[in-house]
Amino acid sequence: MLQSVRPELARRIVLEADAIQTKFPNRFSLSLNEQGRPCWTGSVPIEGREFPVVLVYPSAYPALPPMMHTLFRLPPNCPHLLGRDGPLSRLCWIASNARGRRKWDPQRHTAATAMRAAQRWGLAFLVWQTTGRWPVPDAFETLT
Amino acid sequence: MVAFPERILEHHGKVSLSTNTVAILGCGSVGSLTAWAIASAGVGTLLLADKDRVEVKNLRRHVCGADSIGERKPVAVAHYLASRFPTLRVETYSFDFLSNPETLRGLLARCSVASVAVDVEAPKHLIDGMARELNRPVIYAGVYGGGWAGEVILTCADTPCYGCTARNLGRVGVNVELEVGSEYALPLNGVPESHWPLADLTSLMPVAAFSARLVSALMKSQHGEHSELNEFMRGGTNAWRLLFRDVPEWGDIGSLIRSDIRRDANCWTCGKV
Repeated sequence: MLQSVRPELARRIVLEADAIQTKFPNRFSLSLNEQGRPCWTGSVPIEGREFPVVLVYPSAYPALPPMMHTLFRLPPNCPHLLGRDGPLSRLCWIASNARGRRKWDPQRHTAATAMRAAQRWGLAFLVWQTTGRWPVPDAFETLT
Repeated sequence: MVAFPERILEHHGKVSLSTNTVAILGCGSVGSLTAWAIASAGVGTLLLADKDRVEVKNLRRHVCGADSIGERKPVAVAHYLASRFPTLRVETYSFDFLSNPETLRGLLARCSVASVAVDVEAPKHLIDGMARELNRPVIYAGVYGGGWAGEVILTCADTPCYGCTARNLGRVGVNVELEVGSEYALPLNGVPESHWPLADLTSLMPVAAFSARLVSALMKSQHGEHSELNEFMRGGTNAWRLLFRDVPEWGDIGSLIRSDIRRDANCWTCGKV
């Protein structure tokens, strides 16, 4: 299954699988996407609802954070998006100018960290739908 | 009376490095100077890799001159080295490390030691993970913005990973924006390097020389001559700072500081495996 994945990345994914199972038990499954990249597909709970999330490992992972997508139908004017690809919307979940503990840290963060950020993104989305204001600068904030 | 060390050093065997291959990952100011120094140490093959071309702004700090403007940096450095080291074999690779990890991994697999001098953090984390899997030692060299100090880090299977080492030295994580347009300088404690003036050759050259010396010691160790590497790593350190100014709580100008690096037991790169 992971034949096209670098050995060190495959090893890392195996380690991260435990963290994901601990934080989001039986919610995500690992597969390869159309580009042959490993990804976690599942959902995170937000206020009693399920928010569908697809986390894709970039080829340079863990030097770069996972790419976060959702299959949830988002309105056209939804902020904090990096783009749309068919049914998938790519979420902007980590500020590009983040500093200090809010930066992506390959030594401390995993796909499970990103899944928690997906929860936070979804909550921020609900607040935005209600108030018209995005409540946090980025979904990664305070998660570390 | 000062005793000259020849009597001591004559017991250390001479080692030919002509069969060794070194990957120079990043051919900017520090990388090009390091390549020059390693070539002069007698290494047989250099693999030069960088994604950028030589620009006018590089000339003040780079081994290449005005006739190299517009050339790919690895190619320009290769031309420079060819004119000085005719028996040196040089291969050049122009690609972005983060976009082409498989190519990067191929270079690491072929080398005895890798020397990294890039101006962003993300590729260093990528290289570190690959090199640990491939059991290749890697030297990371850089100069703090303003040139008041330099830093050299060694990682191998026995040392803390690059991330743990950088954290101990006050640098955490990567900027996702990839620090586009930054000149070579290590950010320290979150202070953006653009706040500092550019370092010049007075600090870049000593750091490159120190880095090349460490690369040389690693290769000699691979040939069974461990004394020089043992001198570098005395006390178990894998990171060194060279001070070019008096730095409060660090040391005086001219100091070489051996940093006490601790592995993070929860590190996903080196602590959990």
